[in-house]
Amino acid sequence: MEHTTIRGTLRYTSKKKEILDKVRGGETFIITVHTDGRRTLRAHCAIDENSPRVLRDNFTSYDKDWHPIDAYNQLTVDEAFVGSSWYRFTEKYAECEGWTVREGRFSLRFEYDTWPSLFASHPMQNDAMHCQKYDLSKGLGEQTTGHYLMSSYHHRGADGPVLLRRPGGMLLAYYGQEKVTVAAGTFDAHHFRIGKNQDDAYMGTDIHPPYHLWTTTDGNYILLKAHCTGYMQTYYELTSLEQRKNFF
Amino acid sequence: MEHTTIRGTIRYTSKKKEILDKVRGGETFIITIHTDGRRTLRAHCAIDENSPRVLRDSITNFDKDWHPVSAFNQLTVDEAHVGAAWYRFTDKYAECEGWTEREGRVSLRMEYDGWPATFGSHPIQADAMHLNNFDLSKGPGAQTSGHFYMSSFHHRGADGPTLLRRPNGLYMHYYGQEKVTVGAGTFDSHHFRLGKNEKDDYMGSDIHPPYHLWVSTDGNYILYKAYCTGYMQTYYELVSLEQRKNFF
Repeated sequence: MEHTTIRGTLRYTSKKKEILDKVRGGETFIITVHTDGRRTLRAHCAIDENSPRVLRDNFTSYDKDWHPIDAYNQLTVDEAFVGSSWYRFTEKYAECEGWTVREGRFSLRFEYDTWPSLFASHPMQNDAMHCQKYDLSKGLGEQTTGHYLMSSYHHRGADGPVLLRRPGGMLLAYYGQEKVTVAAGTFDAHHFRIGKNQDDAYMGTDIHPPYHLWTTTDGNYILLKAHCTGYMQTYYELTSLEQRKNFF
Repeated sequence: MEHTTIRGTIRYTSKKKEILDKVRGGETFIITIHTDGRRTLRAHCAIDENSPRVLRDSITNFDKDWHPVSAFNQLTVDEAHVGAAWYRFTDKYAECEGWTEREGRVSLRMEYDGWPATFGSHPIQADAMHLNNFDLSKGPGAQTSGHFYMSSFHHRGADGPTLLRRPNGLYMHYYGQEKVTVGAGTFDSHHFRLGKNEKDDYMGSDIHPPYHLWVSTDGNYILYKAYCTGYMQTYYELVSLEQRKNFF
């Protein structure tokens, strides 16, 4: 039996008039779907548009039931090293061992009563994987996940990496299936939105704009495209995709 | 000012008669040379030939003087999760926080005087980077590095990942410059050997065979090809190489 390897590249652009369709960063990722159902995501991400310019490395591993079990995050911001952290999650607690320029050496541990629904570590492909928490058998609508954990509350994930908790869960809206065409090809997609805000035209910065994601329908939740509307106008598109057995 | 990104792919084959030139695994790597001189190597490596089949993720960070400053290693062997570990190195001590199926939660710290020369984390590209410890101004010949650390003593790095010490340093032999042609092109290279054994035709397994490496001469120590002779007959070749400013 052999594992599956999925390699992809995402291009980050903007829909703001002044930098319309200009490249502002990108992400390369490699996913392993292991033979026992575990998944490992590695992502190398760059936001080069303006300060804070972020260079992020992330590994996130899930068990066969999509529980996050461990992770690693490393950050460079504006070309300066910020820090790195290792995470381990169980159904009873999460722990984080790290060192950052700001905080120095730290060890964190949070106790809880059940598995965190996800670990938000900021790669776009990891955001797409959060959507597996939506129970598609219930059709269109909104669902809220259980508690989850994050490496940073910054909208670019430009600080930490530390261990932070979101006890209120994540709101996921499902719009249904759509056909989407991106640089990597034409695909059937699930269209999701993350967050309560559904007003794409609202330009205030007091609330995160609607965050639309289109993912594959094969159960792997590969990000095909994403659009943060409102004042952000950030746009993300899959530009290459390879799926194969084993490594070569 | 912008960082440099180097992306490459290494193909692992064999020179054993029974599997001559058959692909037995591979490695994709991304190196960042940061604007302050720091370097980050990320490598995704697979040995698929026979048990122990290894799937490894590794990140190693070096400061501007090539001291290893932090690292992460994660292992799957024979399609089963083995463990993950986070490392931090200073000029006074090394620490390792990890979790493995065999050892459970691991928390290690080793004190010393002076920076470790390198961290042996087992990607072939990381092996090539060890050679920055050879003082080329002294010309061909043998040199031994200071003490260094490893994630595993297994020749495939198939256990741990943990923190292990090599107090006696790394023996490096430099043969001089050679022109080499590999899948990625034709290059000027430095030819090195790791280890004291210089008998390429000795087939005993009581000593590690000579490990020859040909690396770039631009100061980045990119692996062009490598060959473990003797009983191992493992061969490694760079098949793609991209170097650019920033991410895209």
